[in-house]
Amino acid sequence: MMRQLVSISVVATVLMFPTVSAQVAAATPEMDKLIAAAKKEGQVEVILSGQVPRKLRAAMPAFQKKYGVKINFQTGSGRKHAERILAERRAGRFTVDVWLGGANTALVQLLPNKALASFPELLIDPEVKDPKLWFKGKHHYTDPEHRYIFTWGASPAYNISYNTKMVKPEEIKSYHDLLNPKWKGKIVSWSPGAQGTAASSVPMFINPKIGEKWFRRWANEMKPVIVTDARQAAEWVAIGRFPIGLFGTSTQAEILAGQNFPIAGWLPHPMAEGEVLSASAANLMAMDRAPNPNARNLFINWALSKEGQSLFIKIGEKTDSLRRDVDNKVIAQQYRIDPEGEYYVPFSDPTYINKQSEIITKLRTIMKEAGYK
Amino acid sequence: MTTVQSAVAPPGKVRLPGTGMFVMAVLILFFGFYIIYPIVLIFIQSFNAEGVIVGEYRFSFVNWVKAFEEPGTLESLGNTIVVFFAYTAVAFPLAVLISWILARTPIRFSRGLEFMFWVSFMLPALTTTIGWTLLLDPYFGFINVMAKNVLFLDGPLFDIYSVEGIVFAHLMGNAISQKVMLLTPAFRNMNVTLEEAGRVSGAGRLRTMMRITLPVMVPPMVVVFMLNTVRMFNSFEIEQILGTPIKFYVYSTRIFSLVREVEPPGYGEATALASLTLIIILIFIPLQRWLLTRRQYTTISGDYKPGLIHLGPLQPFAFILVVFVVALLTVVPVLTLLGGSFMTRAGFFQATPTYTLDHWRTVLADPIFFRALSTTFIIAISTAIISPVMFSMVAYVLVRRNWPGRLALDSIFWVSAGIPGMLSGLGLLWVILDTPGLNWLFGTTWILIIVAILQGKLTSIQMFKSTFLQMGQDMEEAARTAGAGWLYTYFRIWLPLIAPTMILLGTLNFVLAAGATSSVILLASRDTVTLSLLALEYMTTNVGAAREVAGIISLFIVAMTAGLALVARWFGFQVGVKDRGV
Repeated sequence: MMRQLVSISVVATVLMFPTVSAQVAAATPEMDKLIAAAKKEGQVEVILSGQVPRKLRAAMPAFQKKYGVKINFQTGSGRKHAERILAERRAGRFTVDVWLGGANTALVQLLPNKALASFPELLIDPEVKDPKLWFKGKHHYTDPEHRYIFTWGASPAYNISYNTKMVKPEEIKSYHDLLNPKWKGKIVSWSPGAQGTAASSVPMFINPKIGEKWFRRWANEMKPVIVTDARQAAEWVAIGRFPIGLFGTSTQAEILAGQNFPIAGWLPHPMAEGEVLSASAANLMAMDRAPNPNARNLFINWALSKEGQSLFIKIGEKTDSLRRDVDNKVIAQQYRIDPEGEYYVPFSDPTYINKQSEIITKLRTIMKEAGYK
Repeated sequence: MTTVQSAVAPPGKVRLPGTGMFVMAVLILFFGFYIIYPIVLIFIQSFNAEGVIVGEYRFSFVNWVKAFEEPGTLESLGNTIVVFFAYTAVAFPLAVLISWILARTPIRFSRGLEFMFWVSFMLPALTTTIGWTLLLDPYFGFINVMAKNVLFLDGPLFDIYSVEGIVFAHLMGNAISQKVMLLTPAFRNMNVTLEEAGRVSGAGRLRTMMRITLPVMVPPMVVVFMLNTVRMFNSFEIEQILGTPIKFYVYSTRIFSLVREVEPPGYGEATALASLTLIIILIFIPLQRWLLTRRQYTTISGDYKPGLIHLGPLQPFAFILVVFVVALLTVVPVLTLLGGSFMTRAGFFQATPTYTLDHWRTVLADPIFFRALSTTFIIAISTAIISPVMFSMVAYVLVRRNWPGRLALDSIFWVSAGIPGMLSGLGLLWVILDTPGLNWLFGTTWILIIVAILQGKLTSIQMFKSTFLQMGQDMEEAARTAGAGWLYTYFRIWLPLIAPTMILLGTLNFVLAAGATSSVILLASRDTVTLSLLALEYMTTNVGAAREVAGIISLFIVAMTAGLALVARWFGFQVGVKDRGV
């Protein structure tokens, strides 16, 4: 039965996108020229920062094998890479071609310092260039000018983890259920104003059904216990010290669930306030004045191709591709984007893009005013 | 000028004006460039209203005003001071007592026990803290659960998530072990004839210790206390883990948060906050000079006679005390680190499967691991060899030579402690990138070696200074009379005498170099990633069992350091003055 479903979906995909198949088969002269130029450069320097990009180390050899262009990659904190790269650039050294990572560092550090190249012009491969092949029929950029930070993946955001022996999922159908006095002092959380939780907390702040008022009530009335380590929070939920974990605890909760702890990292139903798609660190950026511009462009076109995206979501495990022709059955159901689903898409919302830093500052202020420094 | 100085110099100082001026100028320029210049750049940027990373320079006090007008700043400062003095009040006297027992009494396994304090120092503070949370968590901590069941207590026996818990975690971390490590060799440099004289005059053991031993040990004790005080604002890991859940915030957590958690990083504000250390340093420099010059501290001279004092019936109790402290400091973190590396989730026996080899496989299959291992070894071994030689010579110049500029040179090293590594590392990055002729260093192992060496400068120089203060002038005078120059005297007379301190500081700097993160993170390239940076990356990625994997990498660092320490100690026994119970 399962096999049949898979076969039907594959056939349906091919039927839905006949032009895609034809385009994949046809290599364009422009692409051939690019491949030749990239081979001449011989290498590409890539930054992989953030949880999912770090995992994508395993995808890099596929590019190297296909084009014979060596990939040199660096993992680690995006903030540290940004500081180093900006200092290098000020001194006239340009060492990085491509950046895969979170949008916030890019918006706050890379973009204002003109370290990123305009992206649309770099898309050469017809199967990448065509916006119809992408979610909502367009390319998604998480920057005000819609041309620097290309968002290639996303998945439904899960902000709540819970101890399955202490909480029934139906007890939490809305974020306002978390303001029920019975949960007072029983929620452990990362601070919503921390950088690592912005992808979860900022959309909630923007959502008029949740908003600033909810955060103020939650921080002041519910007296959550704030920690700075997601693993510590999730472990406390898993062993029953706290029934509920919030903001940034879901990933760890799922790992614990896999180790047989009574914890879940996601609720089996959507929240009453609506579902959110979170891109997290699934962004691709081209560095301006790249040392290997052709290899950079080739890598970008490969990474966004059906082949590249299929590999990315398979290895990334928890992020779906925004390409609609990629078979997302390789990832678990709860991480797949439902093409018919109703989502708030923050990375397409100018408020999210333009006011992210301002909202994070506001969230920090709310927490400080509630006594959390 | 030089003649005037020589005329007022104490007897025994060698007059070499030409060489002296030249050597001091080179030292001040070299260390000023690598230590002070990056700090100056960071300070200049702290007055940049546009932020360090983004925008052009625009002079303003805004960062300084913002830093200190933040509500809770004074409270967090008070908390830092309370915690620091609480653990120092316990750690310092205990460390002095243990060092004295190890060095001055015929305690069994003295060398082995001393080495265990070194091992304790090598263990990451974070691992130690996590290990203790597994035992003392009020909800599931093993000791608290046992106490509830056996003693029928309603609440936990001891809640590690408390101010007392934070103090305890510091004690179990490096607060005791580092002091024992630094003080024991100094106590070994004690001439037994001084103590014997006290005993012959009718003083008891305690009185001899209080009236003879401790007063002549003032230089190392003052130095150790000052070194700890200027680093009061550098510790944040313990407070972050144990303090945040109970809303207990310290000053250093704010500095850390501004640098690591705010986007873009608040370097300006962090510099303003960290600069408070400079006030402490400004008080310390003259205070230290006054304390160390007001009297003679010589314990080793031509008639130096090493020896031990038997404690009589108290000797077995002294042994039990030291063994107990060693066990507290090492057993829990080693078990957490080693045992946890074989567990699916360290400390959680409920996990399925409970035991696994996956974390070891992850480490050994990581393509960066072996490269990082080799880079770390090169950096750490270079540091361990170069830093004691270099800094002992600088200390020798500061203590034994009457050359001009000593106060300026000494101040350079003290001022360096005013800015934490995470800020000075950025300053050094700018210096290296913006200085023509130096930017080739960027991304190479050389720059990491330079940083690693300089990292241990303050402790090394101050400890060597206190060691030189313990040495009498007579041996140098004898060498000089025989026609030896200062370099020859240094290598033939001083080097064998200071061998234990050199071994100690070589090992200490090896540990610091192998564990360096914030000072090197901006300077390492993809080819020069170190083990500590790799461990940090695993720790900070919210993926899988990254903490266990990071723990295994730490184990490699500890094993490497312990191996080196053993070799170094053996070597020290061969070259040092014999029968001093090194």
